[in-house]
Amino acid sequence: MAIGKKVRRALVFLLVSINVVILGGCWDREEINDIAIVLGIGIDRVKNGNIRLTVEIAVPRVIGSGQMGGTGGDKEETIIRSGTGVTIADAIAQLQERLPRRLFWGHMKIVIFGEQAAKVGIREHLDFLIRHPQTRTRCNVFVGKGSAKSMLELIPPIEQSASEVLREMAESRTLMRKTAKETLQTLNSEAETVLLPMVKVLPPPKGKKEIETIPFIYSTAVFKKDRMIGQIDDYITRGVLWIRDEIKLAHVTARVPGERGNITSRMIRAHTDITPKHEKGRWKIIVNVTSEHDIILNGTKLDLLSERNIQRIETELEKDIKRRMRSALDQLQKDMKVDVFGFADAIHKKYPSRWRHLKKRWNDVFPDLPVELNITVKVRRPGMNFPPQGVPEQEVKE
Amino acid sequence: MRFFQRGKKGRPSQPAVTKPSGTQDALAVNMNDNLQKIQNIYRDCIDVIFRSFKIGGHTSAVLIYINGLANMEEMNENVLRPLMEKNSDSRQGASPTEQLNATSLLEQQLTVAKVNKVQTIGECVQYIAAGSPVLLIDGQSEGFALGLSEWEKRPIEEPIAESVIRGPREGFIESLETNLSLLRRRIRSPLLKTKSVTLGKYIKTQVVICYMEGITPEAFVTEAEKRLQRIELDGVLESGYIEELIEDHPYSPFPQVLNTERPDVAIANLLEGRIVIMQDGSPFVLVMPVSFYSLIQSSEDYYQRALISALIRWLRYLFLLISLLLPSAYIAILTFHQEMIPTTLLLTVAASRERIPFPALVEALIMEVVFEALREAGVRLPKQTGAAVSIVGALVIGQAAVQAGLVSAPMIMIVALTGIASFTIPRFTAGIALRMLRFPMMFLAGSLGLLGIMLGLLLILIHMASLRSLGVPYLNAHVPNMEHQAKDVLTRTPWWKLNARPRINERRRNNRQS
Amino acid sequence: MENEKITSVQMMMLLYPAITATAILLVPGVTAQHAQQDMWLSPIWASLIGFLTVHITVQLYRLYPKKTPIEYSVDIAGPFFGKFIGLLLLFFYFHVTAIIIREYGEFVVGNFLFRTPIDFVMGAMVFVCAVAVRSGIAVLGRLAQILVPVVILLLTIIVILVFPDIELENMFPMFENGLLPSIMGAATPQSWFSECFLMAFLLPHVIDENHGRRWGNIAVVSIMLTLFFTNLATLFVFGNITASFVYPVISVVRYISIADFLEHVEVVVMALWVVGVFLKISVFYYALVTGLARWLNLSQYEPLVFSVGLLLCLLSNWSANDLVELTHFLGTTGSFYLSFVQTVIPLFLLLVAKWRNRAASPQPAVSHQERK
Repeated sequence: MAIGKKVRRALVFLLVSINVVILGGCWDREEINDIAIVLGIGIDRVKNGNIRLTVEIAVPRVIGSGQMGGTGGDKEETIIRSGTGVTIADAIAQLQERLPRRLFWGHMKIVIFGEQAAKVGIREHLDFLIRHPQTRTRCNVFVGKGSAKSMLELIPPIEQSASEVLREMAESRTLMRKTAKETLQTLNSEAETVLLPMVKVLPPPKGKKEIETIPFIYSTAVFKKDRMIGQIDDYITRGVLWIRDEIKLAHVTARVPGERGNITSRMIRAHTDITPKHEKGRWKIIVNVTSEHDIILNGTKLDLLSERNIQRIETELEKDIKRRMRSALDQLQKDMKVDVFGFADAIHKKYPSRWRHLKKRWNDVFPDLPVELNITVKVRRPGMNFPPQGVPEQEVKE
Repeated sequence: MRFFQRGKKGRPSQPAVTKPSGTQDALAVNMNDNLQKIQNIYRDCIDVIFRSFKIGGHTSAVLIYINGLANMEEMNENVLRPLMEKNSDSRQGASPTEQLNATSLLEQQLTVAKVNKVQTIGECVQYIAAGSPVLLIDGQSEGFALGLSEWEKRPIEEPIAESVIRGPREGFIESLETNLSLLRRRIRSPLLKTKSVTLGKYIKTQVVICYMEGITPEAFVTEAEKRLQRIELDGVLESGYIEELIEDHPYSPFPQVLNTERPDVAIANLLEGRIVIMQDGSPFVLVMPVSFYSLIQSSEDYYQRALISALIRWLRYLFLLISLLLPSAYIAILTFHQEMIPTTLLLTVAASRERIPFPALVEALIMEVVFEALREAGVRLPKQTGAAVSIVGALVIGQAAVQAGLVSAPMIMIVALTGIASFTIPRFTAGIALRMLRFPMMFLAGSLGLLGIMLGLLLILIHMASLRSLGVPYLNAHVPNMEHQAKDVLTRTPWWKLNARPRINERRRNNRQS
Repeated sequence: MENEKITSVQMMMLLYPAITATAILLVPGVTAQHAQQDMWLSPIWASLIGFLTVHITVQLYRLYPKKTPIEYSVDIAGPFFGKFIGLLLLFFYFHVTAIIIREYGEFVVGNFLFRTPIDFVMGAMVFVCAVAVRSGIAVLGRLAQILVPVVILLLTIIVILVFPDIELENMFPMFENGLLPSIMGAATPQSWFSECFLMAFLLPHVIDENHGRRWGNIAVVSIMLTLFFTNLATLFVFGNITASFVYPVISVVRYISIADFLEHVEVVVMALWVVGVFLKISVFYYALVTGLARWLNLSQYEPLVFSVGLLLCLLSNWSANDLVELTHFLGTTGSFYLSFVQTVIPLFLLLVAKWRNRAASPQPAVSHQERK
């Protein structure tokens, strides 16, 4: 009796499990060979306001497949497809028609907005990227000089794909880097401005095909709300990065007065504090920068063992950094009148109640806001040598 | 509760087995009557020898034994010679017709250490069957069973199923007496108790329950005895029979009884308050109650350095999970969660799967089944052919299948790793349970991805948590007394800190060291 | 009814996932809408309700040892009203369990298994929970003791993995609009904390019941800390856009990337989070089924398990039309609904019980029992 019941129960369980497998097998299961792995997308604006979506899809290739027959060779590792539509989602639908495999967004690394698309507004596209459950909020966002499609079409000589090139470049942090999440965060911040890295095609060396080159980050696009209103060059961008406390990689070159030759230092770490002050009804921003440097090149005849020389060098480095920041301020604050420095947020965080009144007239106040820059540079190490190299001992200045 | 509970409730328990007619009869005074009855019982048995002789030249007697089970030399020297000598001291002066005094005979002439008196024909048969020669004397209503049984047995060897690098090399053998002596030789305390139960309708296997009085809760002993006595089988050939019959949940894939060939493991468990069940004819003794954790521990964990053992335990836990989950995780990631693996790896795997005709689930199933078959073939074959199997397995299945484009190379790796992982579990029974559960997990992974794996794992855990071994929760070592047991489950704390004995049921003598 | 026992530690281990499992899903988003950058403070306010509920539950249990609310409500409010309150509680738990199952289903279908029917996802979970509930409270306790440490370890690892992406700046300005927003933000989590009332159904099975209050409070504290840290981590990563996410914590996990290798770990998180939800549903389910058996004066609850499970599947399907309705309900009416049944009604019962005790005996029976 008891055993019969048990067997019956086991049978029922078996039937249920078989059903689970047969029924359940086909809902979300997707073989790895039925998906098209999207590495990067480009969004361009084309005629009559439509969106052209370009995707770069990885082509799985057998590695070291020499003896396996013809699959190897110089077939491309990625393919490019485009689709157009009123929105991205629309464009995807059209794109899907032209692909045998289902698009898979889980490995998307980068998003490039074409210049035209960026000028019209990127909010709608970002919304799609954040809302889609497969895409990553960590993907890097760029603005392409010209069309985004032309960036993705490139066949880079080293990396596997143009997307990978751009991701590596952004992560190296020489200039701007913004993930989708960070873009949204700054868009939602008090100042409602965004800076996005701008890329263009590196001219290919002679003898190479037009397309065998890479895109690279060369400047920065400035957004007011979600529209691109201009761009700033790399020099200015570094100035902004210094102020925003986002500088990760910097070489500073200075000349010491009365000396011939340059001294270049490498920044080890830097920290920037933005302190708003409200004095006698007037707002003022104080930017304090402390940064540590190593000397990596000494073209002067100064001996770096001497404390006095180091101090002189530090002063000159400070001046150079200040110059950069000042020129960034001149261009963005005075000319373009956009608060990309995070001053608004600094005030909001420090004086939340006053900010509420100030916010309404911030656009008027900002261009005339006095900004005080205090920079402290510490040279920590002179590199591997104290005296300048290749200089006779008697000419070295202590 | 009742859902998983399996009892022997349905099985009626009857006391003894039915016996051949006449065995209950008491021995008659007339020896010939007795002899006839026994000869009748043992008709057509050429290996049963009836040796008639005369004690002191006048009283007739007979020695009954089974050829090959008794020590002939001792029988000649210590039984036949002294009894058949005419002028033995005790007979001096006595008249030939005088009643022979059995007691004096026993005390003065039989130079045999172990002698039991037998009263019934049945007893006679039992002793004869066990190898003890039985001496029947005319005019006596009782016979003597002489403890001279001796037969060929295997020498004590190193246990094959549980080999260690460091630790005793002795293993149990098929002889119950030898096995008991192996225990006794190490536990010299009289607190080691051994209770005997006889099993089997025909075979009459002797089974012994060993326990440490004062450490083992009595409830275990009585419960085990009760369960053993309920067994009604024609024969018990291996302790596996007993294991299956006294388990709490026979339908569970998990073994609830530990079997071991090693005396040191048996003793360690005795000292931790468990009972050991030994069976004549099997080198494997059973240990109850056990927790899941003791099934994935090796005796060597305690012989090697604590730190190393702790690391090895963690390694084992990791590989335990791998052996259960790796193929299913592979399926789940490859068909549901492709975003989980780094892009380059994904591309590599995708490339290797590009020409495979099967879906990942089918591919994995094929390879896992093939692997199981290879393993089974390797175990059953003689050693010489075993090598051929591994060559076929490695070359033909492994390399050729990939080159023929039937399976992908990553899949081969997954299967190989799973196989190795399942071999890291020291107990074969526990390893095979996990290997079996791997298959439903693969189906679940194929239908719901990682979610399916989790649900499957939860079901397994629920099942394990509701299992009991001899009434003790199977996951006991972890719960309910966490602090104590975490020392010996999560790590292997050095002996000098491992003071508390695992608290199985009662709070008594809980310190190992004083 | 079964007389299987758990320890008070196991009770805490059951309470912990019974509250946190779903509290880290929709709740941070709802909290952020009200409290903005002060959202980290809200769990602390909310935990006050937790302490209150634990206190009420333990007091009631001391007055009526070995009894669940289903039974002592009869003792307190008389056979008719008592049974009525019992029925109310049962319907409430029926509804809440169904909502939890729905939350789980919505989450899985919305994030991972897009094309799988939600009924199948929920049904599979209810089946697993039903098997666990049938196995009894001791098995649940043992499972919790094994699984909860794993869940906590996982949460800790996630918080550590988030470290490279945090920005402390996101916390400021603190208390921009005073403390009120953070208290408003506590409205939803407090209803989760009121679920501590589940203790009342577990306490009769606890061996060391005199430790019940201590471990109940430890459960509240640990839940509060968990929510505090997850809210903080979310805030540090997402700052001003936290409120825009439906499941902020999962979005944070999604953002994790360590050395380009350890990324996209949210599926692992989901898988282990399923463990928490399993325990949560099981505890609620257990309370519901045993409560029903007691209410009907049955000697066993096991035969009810699967039939109730079927009803739960159906009700979870009806409990909301869509995710928006579900979130709206939990963010508004739900907050008061949950804490009304689980905190206010027991409080009312406790007051009546004390008043009746005082009226019945001139001796202070209550304080006598409290001294134990």
